[in-house]
Amino acid sequence: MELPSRYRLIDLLSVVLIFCALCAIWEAIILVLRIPRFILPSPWAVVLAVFNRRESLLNALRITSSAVLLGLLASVVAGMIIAIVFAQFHWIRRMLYPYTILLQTVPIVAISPLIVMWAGPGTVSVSLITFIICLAPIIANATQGLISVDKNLVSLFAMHNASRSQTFWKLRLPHAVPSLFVGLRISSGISVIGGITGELFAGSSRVGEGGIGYSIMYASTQLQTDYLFALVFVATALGFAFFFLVSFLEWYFLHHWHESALSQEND
Amino acid sequence: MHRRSLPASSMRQTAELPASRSHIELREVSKTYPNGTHVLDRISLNIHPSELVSIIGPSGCGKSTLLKLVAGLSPLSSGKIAIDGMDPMNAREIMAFMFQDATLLPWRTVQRNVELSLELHGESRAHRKEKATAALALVGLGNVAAQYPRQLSGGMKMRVSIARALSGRPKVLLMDEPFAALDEMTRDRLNEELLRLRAENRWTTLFVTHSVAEAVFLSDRVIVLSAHPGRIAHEIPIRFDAPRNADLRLCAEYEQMVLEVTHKLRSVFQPPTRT
Repeated sequence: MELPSRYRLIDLLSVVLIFCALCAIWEAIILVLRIPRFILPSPWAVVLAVFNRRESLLNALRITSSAVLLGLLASVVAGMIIAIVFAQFHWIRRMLYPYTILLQTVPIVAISPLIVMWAGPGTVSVSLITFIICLAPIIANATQGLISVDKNLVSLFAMHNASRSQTFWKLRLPHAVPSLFVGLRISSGISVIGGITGELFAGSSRVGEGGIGYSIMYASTQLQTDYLFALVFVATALGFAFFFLVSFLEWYFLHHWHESALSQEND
Repeated sequence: MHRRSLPASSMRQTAELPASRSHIELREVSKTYPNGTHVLDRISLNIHPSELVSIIGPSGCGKSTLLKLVAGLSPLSSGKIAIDGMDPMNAREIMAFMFQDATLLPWRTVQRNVELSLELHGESRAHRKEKATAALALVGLGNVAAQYPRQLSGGMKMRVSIARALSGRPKVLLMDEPFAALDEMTRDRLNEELLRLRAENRWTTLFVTHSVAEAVFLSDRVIVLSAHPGRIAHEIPIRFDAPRNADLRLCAEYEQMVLEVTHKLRSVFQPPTRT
């Protein structure tokens, strides 16, 4: 059963109230301790900054989100292809799987300067950095999904003399979709972080080409703290948007049949 | 990639006959796993056309393994298995296998699940639909064709599995404890269902179970295997004067038979020998 809507309303109300309370405490601290604007702007100043700088904020958002989306999509495509190769050929998997762990453990901050050196600052580098940190979760989860098919189902296909490609398209691939989404959810979460971190090193500094990460650096050096807060707000919103996009896609593809996408409706 | 070597089946026409003429022959079949475990020892068994033979025995007697050998899902160590004179791998076209669980694809509707076997054999969409609809009607599930497996009860899922097995019009049924996961009432219902379906279409059937009552209720013959390694310990023909239906369970002769099989099954239970 779904929660009665009355409780939902109370939930929502409490979220709003807590937000208001936090803002009030924030404002109070500034007033009582007399903190200067460039150290901690008031909530109102942040709201004003969001409004006044909306054009540059939107521009930064557009640049960052397109670079991140490009990197994420590339990691899904490449990760899926690698996972399929891993699932079809055990010996390749055994040989190369350790390197995907390497991919996950290498500190992205440490190799970002290298990527900038090779690809130059700008969207390509930022996408590449996003791609690298998003790849491992996709490979790991998609491979798991492709190979963890129930033995009896494999036998069932064998009993019908199914070909390898039939077994792949009709059994392994659909079975891997929920796992792929587990990987995608992890990757979409870290993709925004990766993109913004990437921009700190690899963002273009040309006028009008700076993404959120670059703008954050710029704002901090200029002591435009209210703008910095506005950028943090936009970055958070972007992360949320990615999360909801992936959640929606997951629901769309899986709600017919998979437990992870079900609400409590069948209890 | 391998292409399917078998063309769209030509056996389907002959499979329309009500009584199956297929027979299964096992001669001196032994199976040893690569790790050295000797599971089956020189099993010789003939299953006659339209006969239902149950295999029962303590866990570890290799009864499921035996079924996998007949299905060609696992290679023999020695001996010979022939289905209508064919090698198991070549006889798959006329066999259907039912597993302990329903083995449905959760992302497919009931209808599309039943169509799966036909789809893998390359049948046309229209044919598939028609046959699947007929198979679902046969097990009384025409009304849930559009639902997904998660919406069904365990018993209904198993019925879908039966429908899928029957949709290809097999001559031989291999059933590996198909109702073991169900509660007793559902299992009884499905056993009655199976009897009803068999009255119309007498498949040659090899039925593995660990339930004596089920074996006696369904079978023409019960084979009791002993364990470590699996050998045929007893062979018990099952015949009743009363007709085979739900009321059979209330008859004294049924009760008598269950007792006899239980007794023989008990005689093969031994504490595992330590070496």
